[in-house]
Amino acid sequence: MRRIVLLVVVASVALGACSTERDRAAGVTERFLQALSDSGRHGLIESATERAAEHGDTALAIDLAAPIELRAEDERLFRDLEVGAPRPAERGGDVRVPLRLTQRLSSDAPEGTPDEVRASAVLEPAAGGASWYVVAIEPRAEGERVPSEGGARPATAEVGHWMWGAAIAALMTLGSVILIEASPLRMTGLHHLPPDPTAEDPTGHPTTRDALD
Amino acid sequence: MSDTESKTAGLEPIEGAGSGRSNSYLRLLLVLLVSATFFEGYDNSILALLLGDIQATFAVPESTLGLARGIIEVGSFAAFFFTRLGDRWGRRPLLLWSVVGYTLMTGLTAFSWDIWSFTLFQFTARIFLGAEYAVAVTMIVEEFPAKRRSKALGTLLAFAAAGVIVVGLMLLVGLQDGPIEWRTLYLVGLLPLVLLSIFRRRIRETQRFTAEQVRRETLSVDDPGHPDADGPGFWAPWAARTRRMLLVVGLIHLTRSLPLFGSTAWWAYYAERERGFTSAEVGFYIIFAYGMGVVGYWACGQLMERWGRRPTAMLYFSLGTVFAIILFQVDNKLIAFFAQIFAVFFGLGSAPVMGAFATELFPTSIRSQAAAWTRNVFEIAGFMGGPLIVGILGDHATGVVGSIGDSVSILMLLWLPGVWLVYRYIPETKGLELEDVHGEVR
Repeated sequence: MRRIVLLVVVASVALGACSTERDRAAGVTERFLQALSDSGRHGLIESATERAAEHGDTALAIDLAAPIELRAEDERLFRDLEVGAPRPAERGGDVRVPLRLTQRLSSDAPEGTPDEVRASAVLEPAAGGASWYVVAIEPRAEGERVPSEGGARPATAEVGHWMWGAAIAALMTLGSVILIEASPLRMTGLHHLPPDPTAEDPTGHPTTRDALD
Repeated sequence: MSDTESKTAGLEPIEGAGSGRSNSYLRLLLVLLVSATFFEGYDNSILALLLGDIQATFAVPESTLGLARGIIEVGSFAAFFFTRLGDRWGRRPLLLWSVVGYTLMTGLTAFSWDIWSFTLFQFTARIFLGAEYAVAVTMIVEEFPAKRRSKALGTLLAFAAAGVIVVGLMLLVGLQDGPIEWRTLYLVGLLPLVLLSIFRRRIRETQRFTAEQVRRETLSVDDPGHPDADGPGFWAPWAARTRRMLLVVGLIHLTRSLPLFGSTAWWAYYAERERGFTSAEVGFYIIFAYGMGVVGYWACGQLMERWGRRPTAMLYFSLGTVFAIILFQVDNKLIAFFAQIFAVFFGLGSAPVMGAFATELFPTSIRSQAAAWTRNVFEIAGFMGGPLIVGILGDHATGVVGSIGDSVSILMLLWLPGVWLVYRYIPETKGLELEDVHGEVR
C-alpha cells in the first residue's frame, strides 16, 4: 500500500511538472472561443459565460457568433475552431492570435449565408503576466494564418521533449526487465521455454515436452 | 503439471479438448460472442463522440463531465472483480449474467435523469461489458482447436471496430438529432441485446472448464485441504508458477494501451483544433479508417496462424507506432487519411494477439483471472492514464509540449518496450493446444 501511495505521489509531482509557468496566448484564445461556443446551449449558458469571462471580454461574441436569428437553436455556436501562432501586436506586450471558426447556422438560414469567420484576437497580459486576456477581435493583418492555411503551429515539441520520451521508454524497458527478472522462474509448460519452442531450454529446467514425452 | 502429477490429482484426460465441438457449434459460438466486442466499440464511441450532447442535456460544466467520465472508466477496472468469477462460476454463467446486466444498464442509461444517474448506469454497464469481453475471449481460446483459434480471435475482435463504424453511421444519418437525442443510440442497442440474452442460453460451458471442475471436485474429495480444491484464490495468478508470465503479459498490455488510448481519445480533437478538419471530415475519417482498418484485426488472426504470435505482435507494435506518429505529424490530409487507416490496422488491429497472450499463456484454472488482471488492471491503467498524460502535456494553454499531436507522438515511443518484451519473454504458441502450452493432460 505504501508503495502505491508513493507511486501516486511521484506521478502527481511528475504530472505537475508538465505544465508551463505562463499560459500560452493561443491556448487562452482557444479556451475563450470554446466557452463562447458552449454558451449557445441553453443548459450551459451560465457556466460557459463565466468561463469565457475568465479569458476575455464576452461582449466580443457579437464579432464572432452569427446573429441570433441565424443561429441553430440550443446548439454550440461554432462547428469547429482553430487558432494559430501568436505575433506581437502594435501595442507593447500585447499579442495577436489568428483564428478561424465555422458558425453553426440554423437550417432556416438562407442558402449561401457565410458561416466562416477569419479574424485575429488581440490579447493583453493578465494575472500578473502569468496569463492572457482577449480584449479585441480584429481583421487579420498581412501574413496572419492558422495552421490549416499554412500558418505556423502555436506550439511544437522541442528536441528535448523527444529525448525525454525516448529516455522514459528506455527506462520503462529497463524497469520492466528488472521486475520480470526478479520474479520466480518456477513455471510449468512453455513459460520457461525459449521463444522458439523447438530449441533447447537453456535453463535446463524440465519442460512440458519432457513431461509429455 | 506432468502426466503423473495430473493423474494423482484425479485429472482425467479430456478427449479431444479444444477440438471436440462440431463446426456448427463453433460457428454459433462465434456469432453469439461477437456482440461482446461489438458493444465495447459501440459504447466507447457513443461516449467519445456524444459527450458534448450529453453535457448539454444535463447542463453540467466540463469539470463535472470530466469527473463523471472518469468514474465511468473506473467501471472497466471494477470489471476485474466480476471477470475473475469466471474461474469459480464457470464461463457460461458469467457470460449469461454479464449480457443480462449490460442490457439492463444500457436500457436504464437511456432513461438517465441527471449526470449522476447516467454515470451510475454507465459505470455498472462497463463492469458487465468488461466481464463479457474477457469471458468471450477466454471461451474462444478454450473452445476452438489450435489451428482455428487465431482466426476466430481475429473475427471476434474485429467487431469492436464494427461497433465504432455503426455509431459513426448513426451519427451520419443524424440519429442523435431526433426527439430524444443521444438516448436513441442506447435504445437502438437494446433489441439485439435482448435477443442475445435469449439465444446465448444455447452456449455450453467450455470443455476445458468442465474438466477443471471435475478436477476440483475430485480434489475436494481426495484431498480437501488442497489449495485448488475450492477454486483459485484472489492472488492465484501471482503465484510463483505464473507470476513472471503475468508480469510480462501485463506490462505488454500497459505499454500498448498507454499510447494507443492516448491517441484514439485525442485524435478527433487534434484533427479539428490542430489540423483544421471540419467536424464532417472527422466523422468521415473515423468511419473510413475504422471501416478499412477493421481488416487489420482479421489479418492479425491470419498472421498469428501463419507466422506465429511473436512475429505478428512485433510487426503490429512497430508499424502501429510508425503510422500513429505519421498520423499525428503530417499536414497533408491525404497522407493522414492513409496513415489513420494503417494506424487503426496495426494499432487497434493487434487486439487478437493481445487476447491470445492474455489467455493462452495461462492454465485453465486461472485463465479468467489472468485475463482480468492483464485487461482490467494493466490495460485499463493505460486506458485511463494515456489520455490523461496527453491532455496534460498537450494542453494548448498550459501543457509543457502545448501540442496534442506532438504529445501523442512522443507517447507513442512508450510502445516500443512492448516489442522488446515480446521478443525477449513471450513463448510461441502457434499451433499448440492449450494443454501443450501448460503441460496439462488432454
